[in-house]
Amino acid sequence: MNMPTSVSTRLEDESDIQLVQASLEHKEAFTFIMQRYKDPLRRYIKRLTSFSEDIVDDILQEIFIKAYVHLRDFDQTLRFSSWLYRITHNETVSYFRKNKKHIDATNALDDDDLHLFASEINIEQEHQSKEFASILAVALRELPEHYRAVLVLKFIEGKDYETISDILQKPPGTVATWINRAKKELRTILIKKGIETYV
Amino acid sequence: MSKENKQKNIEQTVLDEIEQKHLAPKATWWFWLRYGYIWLVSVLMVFVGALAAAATLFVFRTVQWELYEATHDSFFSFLMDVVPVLWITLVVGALIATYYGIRKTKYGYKYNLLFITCTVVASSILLGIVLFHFGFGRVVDRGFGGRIPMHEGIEMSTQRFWDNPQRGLLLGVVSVDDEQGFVITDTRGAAIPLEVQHLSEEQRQLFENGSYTRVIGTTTGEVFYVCGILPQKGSPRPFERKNLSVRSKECEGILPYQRLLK
Repeated sequence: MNMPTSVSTRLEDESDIQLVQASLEHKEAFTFIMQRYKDPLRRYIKRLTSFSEDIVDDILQEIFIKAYVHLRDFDQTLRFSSWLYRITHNETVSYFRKNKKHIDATNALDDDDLHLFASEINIEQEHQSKEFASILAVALRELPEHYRAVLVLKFIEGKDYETISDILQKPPGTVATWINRAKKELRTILIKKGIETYV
Repeated sequence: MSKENKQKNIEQTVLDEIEQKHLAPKATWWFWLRYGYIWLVSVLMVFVGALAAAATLFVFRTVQWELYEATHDSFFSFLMDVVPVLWITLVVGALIATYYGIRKTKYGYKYNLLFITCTVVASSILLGIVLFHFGFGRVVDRGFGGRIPMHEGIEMSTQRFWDNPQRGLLLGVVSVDDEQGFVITDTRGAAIPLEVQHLSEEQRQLFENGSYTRVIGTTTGEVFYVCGILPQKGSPRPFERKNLSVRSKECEGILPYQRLLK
């Protein structure tokens, strides 16, 4: 049964939870969830993997289909965005493990990402250039998957520890440990590549 | 299709796929079943771990630590023979499986590592103690003894250690025969007369008619010359070991007996 137009117009401003309820009744309502989240999720996938646009779109479609099928598994004690990021993370990592060869050489970090990141991992200001951006992207790719994920979620996506814990399904303590270790390891890689950091 | 168009059409593509494949949100009960299954397996693993813990406790309680010098040449070789590797491995394996099971539950990732580990270990061990108390340790160890490769059960192991006349050890049921005096029927059913003339009355009283008894001595012809008697029930009480003493020249050369005298 198609959704009435009046309902469809009203849904645009509804909360995530209301959209979930509406999607369970009319699949068309799920469009609003997709519209709301497709760009942030696309950015997250790219930051995590540097996959090409086509592959990112394929993964994104899989994510939305999986989310739709599992809508009743969404636990309202969590934020809907955390739940969706969790699916995104798992799907992306799963695809990444199977298709490492499809990683795009282009840099997935924009200037804003770069500035955020550089200050968090104590990079000297003069290194915050376009050239550094590609070095940082390469260095990030050299990190183990889980370290890369916590750094992206914490310093680029701006998620707090509790949210990262919900996304990665790891205890908050583990998340904190991973972030510290990931920062250290990233600094070591950057130093090897000739980028100076300060303590 | 241009990149922009494809991006714009993701919503439509997803809806089309949902339509074509007749996809629908899975029912709530499906998720309950899924998480329930994980919990069920985890609880089952706690129970398996507890049974293995009960069997381990039974083995350690049954092992005759005080007599290892009689049955083995070194404490190490004794340990190799009695440590219940199977049960300990199963306890550890079940603990690890339970830990990962709980981690896989819906909120499993939120629990602190130490909290899960302590809860899983404590529940398995406590339940294991309860099961041991009700005799399940023995049931498990005996039930699987001889049916699993490399595992014979502590009772069968103990029997094997003491059913060794060449070493001077015998295990069997003692009875009193009017003609032959004391007779021990070993685990293979052979009746062996016991030479006990030189034993004190106190020592002889350790024989309980019809009960399993271990004896240390030496085979001389058709008769087993008894130097020491160790009732099967429980470990030898301290005074028993203290009362073991060289009573005849025959006993001087019997290594297990000499070791117990030290």
